Amino acid sequence: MSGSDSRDAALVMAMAQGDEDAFSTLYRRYLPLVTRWCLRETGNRELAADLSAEVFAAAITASRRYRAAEGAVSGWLLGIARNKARESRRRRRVEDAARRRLGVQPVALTDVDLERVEALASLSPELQAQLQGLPAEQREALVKRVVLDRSYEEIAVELRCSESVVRQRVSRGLKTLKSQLEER
Amino acid sequence: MSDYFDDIERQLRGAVRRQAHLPWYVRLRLRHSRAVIGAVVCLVIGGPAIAYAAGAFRSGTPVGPYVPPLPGAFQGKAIPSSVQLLSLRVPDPVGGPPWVLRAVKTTRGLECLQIGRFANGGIGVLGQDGAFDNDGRFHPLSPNLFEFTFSCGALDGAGHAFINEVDYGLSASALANANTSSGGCYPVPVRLHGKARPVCPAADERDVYFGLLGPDAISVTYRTADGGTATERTVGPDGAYLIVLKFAAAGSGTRYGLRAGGETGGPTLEGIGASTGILTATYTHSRVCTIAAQFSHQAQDAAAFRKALFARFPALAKAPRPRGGLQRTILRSAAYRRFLRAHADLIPGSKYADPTCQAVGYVAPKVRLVTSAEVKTPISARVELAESVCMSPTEVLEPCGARTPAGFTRVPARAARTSAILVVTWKSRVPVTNQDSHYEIYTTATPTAARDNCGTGTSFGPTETNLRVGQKVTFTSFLPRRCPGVSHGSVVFVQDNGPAGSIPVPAQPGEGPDIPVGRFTVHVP
Repeated sequence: MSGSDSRDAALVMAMAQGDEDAFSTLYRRYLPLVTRWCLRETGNRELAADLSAEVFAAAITASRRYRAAEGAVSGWLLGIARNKARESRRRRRVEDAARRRLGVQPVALTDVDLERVEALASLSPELQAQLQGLPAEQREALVKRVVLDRSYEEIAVELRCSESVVRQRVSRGLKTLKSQLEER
Repeated sequence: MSDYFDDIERQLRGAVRRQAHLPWYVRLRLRHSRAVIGAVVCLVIGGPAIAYAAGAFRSGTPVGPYVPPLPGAFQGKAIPSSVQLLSLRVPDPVGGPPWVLRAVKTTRGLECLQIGRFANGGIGVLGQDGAFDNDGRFHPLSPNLFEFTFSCGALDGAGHAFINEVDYGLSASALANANTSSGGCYPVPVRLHGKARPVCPAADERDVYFGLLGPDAISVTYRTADGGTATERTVGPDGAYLIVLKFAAAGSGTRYGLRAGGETGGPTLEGIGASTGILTATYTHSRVCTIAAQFSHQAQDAAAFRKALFARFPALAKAPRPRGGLQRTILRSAAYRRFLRAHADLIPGSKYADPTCQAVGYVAPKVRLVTSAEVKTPISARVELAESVCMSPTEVLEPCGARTPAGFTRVPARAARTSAILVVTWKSRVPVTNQDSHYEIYTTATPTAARDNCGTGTSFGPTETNLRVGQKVTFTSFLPRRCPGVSHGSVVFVQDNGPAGSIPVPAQPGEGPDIPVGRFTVHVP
């Protein structure tokens, strides 16, 4: 198991213990992966957004059963996604049992949301892998800024640091990615 | 990020936090369908500890009615479609399955509450504390089990019942009263049939308050064991509440003189409130019934009330719980209700009645009170002497030989030998279709009564069966043989037409005036 895998496994375990921040880290890290898979599977942006939310809700309820030895977190999440997609096809509607059990209220999708689904899905697996290789703080800042299109100010508030620190992390992350891509 | 994904993240963060604090079996429910859980429970049922946590028990003998229910007599028979397990699940202060209430409407216009432990998806009694030989099983309650409980109330005009019940020292098994068939323990040392019965350990006793506060009720606030307060929201259209605390032995001995383990109750909170930890009940439109403010006054009254009560009914003072047939008969009797009326000023709290503590939301049933002309009829009465007496399922006494007729129970020989049977008969001119109306009988004292300490006359009844127009009514009761002489009597008809007052007794609906039916005279040899 790689270092990033073990870090992810630790996040899942922390999430199972009620660590909201661990969940957020995982959510933001794997939302592009899950959304892309869901969009490919359903061919529909709305269904992909709906299904992605259900996958993460199901991950919460199943987090105590996750065993790192059984595979990486990405595989675990996609396994959940496959099950949810299969169940949704069988029921002819997007499965929402996990969200209902957790008391998650339905959220309306806007055009902006649908565009974001496409943006999230557009991240290539290669780029995903490169991102996983970054230090956590750089990866997080980079994803928020580049993938999720948040302002430096928003990110600074969220990460409880100054804007200049965010800019620095994003810059370093981009540099690292660039160098990695150049090496290939 | 977009609003959608942000919002989902925010909600799921909350879910992460919440689910970490849930017990494992609730998390199990979050993860799996009921079918999967059922399968899991079946698999682990052999492991008592795990099964216990999941609410699964091996089922034992059901707790049925000790006397088969009669649709047209006494409380009547449960109407199957009305049987409803209320959604309250109250944790036991020590542990084990939660406590639960079940509401049952009967064929005689009553709504009754049953209390028990919740397991296997239903209400029942645990095989512990001497119940069912401590078999550790779950014994489901029959919806027709009304004996030994006083938690039935008449339905008002809108179909709601108002019930407030207290049971001090109820066994954690939830067996309301120990008895020879189900076992159980007793709150005080008891010898029955020459055999000492097990005494409940104080740790296995509970103080339980429960009832129906009506459709307008919102919540009940009560004092907790640690001296703090807690508020529970009422549940369902009838405003159900259920509070389960550890047995507070220190204060129980003074509660209305009914000894530790006794029950009180009534259709209003006042009937029980001052003797319990219940402080307030909150209703819609900001109405609040405050019990605590009346406590000191009620406590002063209570001693005088007890003294008068025990002077009139010595058996209530002497006998421990469970009250035997005599005590139950007394508490159900018209004589007891007459006593309460005569001593209304001594009833704790009666002088300080708070209007907001009455049956809030009560809708008076539309009752046309009949006139004496409509019910008046000839009465015949006689006295019979018999060495052996048996009692029918509707509690009519009859002389019997060595054999007890089917369905009858034999009266103890000593009672038969020392008593005469008063038999009063008449034809009912009005129908009786439920517990909202009944007949009662009064007798005057015989000339020898004062000399022989026989009292000053008494009352019998009420009749507790449905009656058709023209149906012959036979009422029987014991008269003491040691008080010979002529006794005059009368029969009256009583209709319920309103909620009961604030009385610390089993729920008794309000009654209209006595309507004379006829008179009779008997000679006690």
